[in-house]
Amino acid sequence: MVFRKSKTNAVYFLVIAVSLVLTLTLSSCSIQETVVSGVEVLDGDTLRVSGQSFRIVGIDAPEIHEGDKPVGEYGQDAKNYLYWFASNFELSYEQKGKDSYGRILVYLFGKDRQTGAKYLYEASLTENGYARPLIYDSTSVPNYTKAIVDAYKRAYENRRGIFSKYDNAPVIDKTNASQLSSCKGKIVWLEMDVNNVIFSNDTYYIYSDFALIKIRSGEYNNLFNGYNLYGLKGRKVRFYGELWYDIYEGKYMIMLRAPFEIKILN
Amino acid sequence: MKRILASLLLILNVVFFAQNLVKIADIYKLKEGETVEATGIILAPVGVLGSLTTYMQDETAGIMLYGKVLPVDLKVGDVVKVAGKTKVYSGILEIIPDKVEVIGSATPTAVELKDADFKKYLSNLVVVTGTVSSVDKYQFKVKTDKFEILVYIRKEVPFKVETLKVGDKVSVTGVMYLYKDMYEMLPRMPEDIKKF
Repeated sequence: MVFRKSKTNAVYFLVIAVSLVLTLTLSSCSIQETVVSGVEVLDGDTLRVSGQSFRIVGIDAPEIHEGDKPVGEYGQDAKNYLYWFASNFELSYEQKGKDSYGRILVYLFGKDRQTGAKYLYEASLTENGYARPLIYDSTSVPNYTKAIVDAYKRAYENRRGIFSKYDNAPVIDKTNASQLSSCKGKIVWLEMDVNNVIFSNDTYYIYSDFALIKIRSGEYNNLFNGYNLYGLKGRKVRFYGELWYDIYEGKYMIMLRAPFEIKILN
Repeated sequence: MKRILASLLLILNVVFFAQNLVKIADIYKLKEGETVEATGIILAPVGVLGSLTTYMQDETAGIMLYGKVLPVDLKVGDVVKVAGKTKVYSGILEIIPDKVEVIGSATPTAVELKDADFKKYLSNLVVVTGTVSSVDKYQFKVKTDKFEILVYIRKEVPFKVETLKVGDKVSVTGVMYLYKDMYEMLPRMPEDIKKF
């Protein structure tokens, strides 16, 4: 195990110093939950226990390493939050299968040892504005999904984390599109004349001539309350979110998560 | 005296207001470019049957509405009062509203398509019951005893035409549309196509 030099190493060490006890418990509603300790935090939505990777589902925390997605804002905050959560609560998880990388998909819980209160990590992180909803039918549990969705709305209302830039993030439109490459991974408003809206492969594609907006069905069905995206065609609209580059479409894009990330200008 | 004057003013106001509001069928009798004010029930979500487009109907006829003034969140069944100028777009009369106000809600009733005089149903919500006579990628035809009508599925409507086959008995609801010189029905949602 390699220790990276950072302020969080102390917390990190504290977490992994906790004895490696893996016990199986059954919660009151008979859902299989596994208590876990000795975790290694990889980022805001991934951890490792005894060499096995766990992907925390229902959310998408900003990246801290460049991969398919760029390094995002608040990624380190999300990671720090998971350190804090893991060191302050007794962790348990509910498994929801495995992904194609062999990672175990889990909902993560933290139990306050003093009060006995139990928290859904995904919702706690999201409420702080350090993650966005990422909902798959195959792993969705209605109560947990609702908690994550409500947390995202509260993060927006309280302008937490990723929403702290809502009122002053840079606006990029066609006239200053040259800034796009330097804003990759940054939180921006994309202003565009929507020329088409298409639903294909479980995703809405909102097109303009210089950028693209995508909305997955998982988020559309759980957050948009039937919002009429086709009504955006022909209008000037601003979209809020983290700027990515879509190599297949050859366009800069935002993966939109909620209707409050849309502002219709005219 | 004051009270009489006030009543008179009120009556005048009502008369003036009523004169301004026209039935949709009467809009078709006016010259293109006239300013009109009319009420109707919204038939489709904005943008589903065309960019910045929807339709409304009253008991006399239906009409296309077009423009950025149309709120994105207009719902099927919203009763609206619109004011604006008329314009002919590709053979279809439309209102380009300056103002759209939602004043209530109601269920739009589809008019039964009874004959091949499709023109009189233009922009109305219509329903036809018949047999599927041909199936193509984005469209199919419905045949009745008296006529055959084309049904076109726009990309915005998540209905798979390949689930239909020739000979299926169906009931189809949609807005009557004119494409080039061909009348066709535009369903608004998958539920508009019922298979028996």
